[in-house]
Amino acid sequence: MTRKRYFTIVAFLSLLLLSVIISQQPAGLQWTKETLFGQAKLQATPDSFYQHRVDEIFVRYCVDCHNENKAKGKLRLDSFRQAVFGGRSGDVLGKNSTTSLLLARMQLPADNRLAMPPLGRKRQTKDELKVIQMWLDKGASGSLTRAAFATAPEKQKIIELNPYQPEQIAKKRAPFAKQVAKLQKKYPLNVQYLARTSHLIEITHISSAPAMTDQSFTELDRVLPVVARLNLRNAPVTDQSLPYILNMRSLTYINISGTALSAPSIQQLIHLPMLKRILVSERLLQELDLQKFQQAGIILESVYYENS
Amino acid sequence: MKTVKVWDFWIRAFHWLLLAGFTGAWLTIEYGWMQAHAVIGYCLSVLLIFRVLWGFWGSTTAHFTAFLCSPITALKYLKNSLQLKAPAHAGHNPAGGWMVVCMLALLFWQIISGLLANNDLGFSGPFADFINKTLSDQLTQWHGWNFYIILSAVWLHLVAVFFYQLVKREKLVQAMFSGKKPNIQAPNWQSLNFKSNIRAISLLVFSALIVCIIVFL
Repeated sequence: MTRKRYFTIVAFLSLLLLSVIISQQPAGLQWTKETLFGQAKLQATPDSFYQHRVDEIFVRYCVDCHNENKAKGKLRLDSFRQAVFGGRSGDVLGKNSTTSLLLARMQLPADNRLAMPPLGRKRQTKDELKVIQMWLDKGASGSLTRAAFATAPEKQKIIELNPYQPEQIAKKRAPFAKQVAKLQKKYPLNVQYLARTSHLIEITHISSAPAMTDQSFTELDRVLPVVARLNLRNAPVTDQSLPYILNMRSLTYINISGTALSAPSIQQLIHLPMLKRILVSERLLQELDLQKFQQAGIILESVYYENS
Repeated sequence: MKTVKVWDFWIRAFHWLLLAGFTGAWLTIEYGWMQAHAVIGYCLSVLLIFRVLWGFWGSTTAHFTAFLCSPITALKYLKNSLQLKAPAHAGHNPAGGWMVVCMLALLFWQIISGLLANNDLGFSGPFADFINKTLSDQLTQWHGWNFYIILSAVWLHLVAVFFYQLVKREKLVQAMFSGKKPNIQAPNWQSLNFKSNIRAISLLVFSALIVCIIVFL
C-alpha cells in the first residue's frame, strides 16, 4: 500500500469515527442542525410550563449532580435543551410518562439502588411527580404554556430550613468577629447579629443608648459588608454617612426616617444590590423619583412626623 | 527469512493485558459496574508500576534508556519515517518511545485521578475522602476527559502501527504476539539482552505489593 493511499484511508476513517462520535452525542447533532441547517435553537420559551413548573423541580432535586460542571451519567438537567439531550442511557424523557426513564427512576422507592434522587437526598413530592408526568405525557414540550396543563397540581410554596451548623456560622463570622465584638462593647444595645444562625448584623439607633452619629460610621468601616439591617430612625446622621451606607452591600432594610439625609442622597440608595425596603420621612417623598425605586424592586415607605 | 527475538514475554503480556484492562475499565464504567471498575483499576496500577520497573531493570527493548531520545531526534525520525527513509529498530523507535512515555503518563494520571474520584452514588476511589469534595468532583471530571485523551492516543498508536504494517511492511502486530521479527528489521539484535522470568515475577509481585499497601492499608 502506498503512503498516500494509507493516509487517505486514515483520514476517511478518522472522519467516519468522528461522525459516529458526533452522531452519538445529541448535543453535537443539534449543534450541527442549528449551525449548518439554520434550525431554530432548541430551548424552552419563557412562558412555558417547563420554565414555570418543571425546571424548578429539576433545580431542587436534580441539578446538584446533573449540571454543567458535574453531569452524572452524562446527564444534565439544568435546562430544557440539556434535558432533551439525555445522558449515558440515551433519551431519558421518552415519548410519554410510561416510557420515560427519568420518571421511572424518580418513582422508584428511595432505597432502590437506581432511585433518583439517591438515598439520603431530599425527594420530590407526589404533586411534583404528577407535574413531571403531565409534562412528559404532553410530549415534554418546551413551548406549551400553563394553559395546556389546567389540571396540574397547584404550585406549593416550600419553605426549607437549613440545619444549624455552628462551625460554619463561626467560619463566616470570623473575618469580622473582632470588629463586631468591639462595636458591641461600645454600643451594647445597638449592634446585634441578625440571628444565631447568621453572620449578618443589624445596627439600630436607640435614643436611650449611645447615639449613632456620622462619627459612628467611621468606626463601622470594617463591618460594612455584613450590615444587613440599619435602623437610624431619628438618629443625628447627615449626608456625610452616605458613602458608608453605600458600602453596605448586604443591606436589605434601612430606616432613615427623621434623619437629616437629603433626598438626592436617599435616591442613591437604589444602587445597593440587596436593598428591599426603605423607610423615609413623608416630607421627602415628593422629592424622590419613586419610579426608579419601583424599577429597582425596592419598597419605599414613608413615616409621618407631625413636626416635619 | 530468519526471525529473531525482540520482545520478551513480559513486555508482550503487559501490552495485551493493558489493552484488555483498558477495554474492561471502559465497559465497566459504561455499565456502572463500579466495583469491577475499581478492581480493574488496581490491576492496571500493578501493570503500570511493573512496566516502569521493567523499564529500568528489564530486558533491553523494554529499557527506557534504549528508546528514549531527545524530542528533536524523535521528530526527525518521524519525518524520515513518513518519507520511508528511516531505518528499522529492533525495539521501540524514537517516535514510538515518546508514545510509550506519553501513554504511561496518561494512564498513570487516569489511575491517580480515579483513586481520588467519586460518583456521588456511594462509590468513591480509596483516596477520595482524603481530599475535599470539590477537588474530588474536579478530578472525577478530569478522569472522564482524560479517558478521551487516552482514546485519541490509542487511535494515533493504531495509525502508526498500521503504517508500519501496511506501508513499510514491518510486521509489528505479529511481533507483539510472537516476540519475533525478521532479522533484517531488527538491527543489533545480537546485542539484545533478555532478563529472567524470576526477575520479572519478582518485580510483578513487588508492584502488586505496592498497590496493595497503598490501597488497602
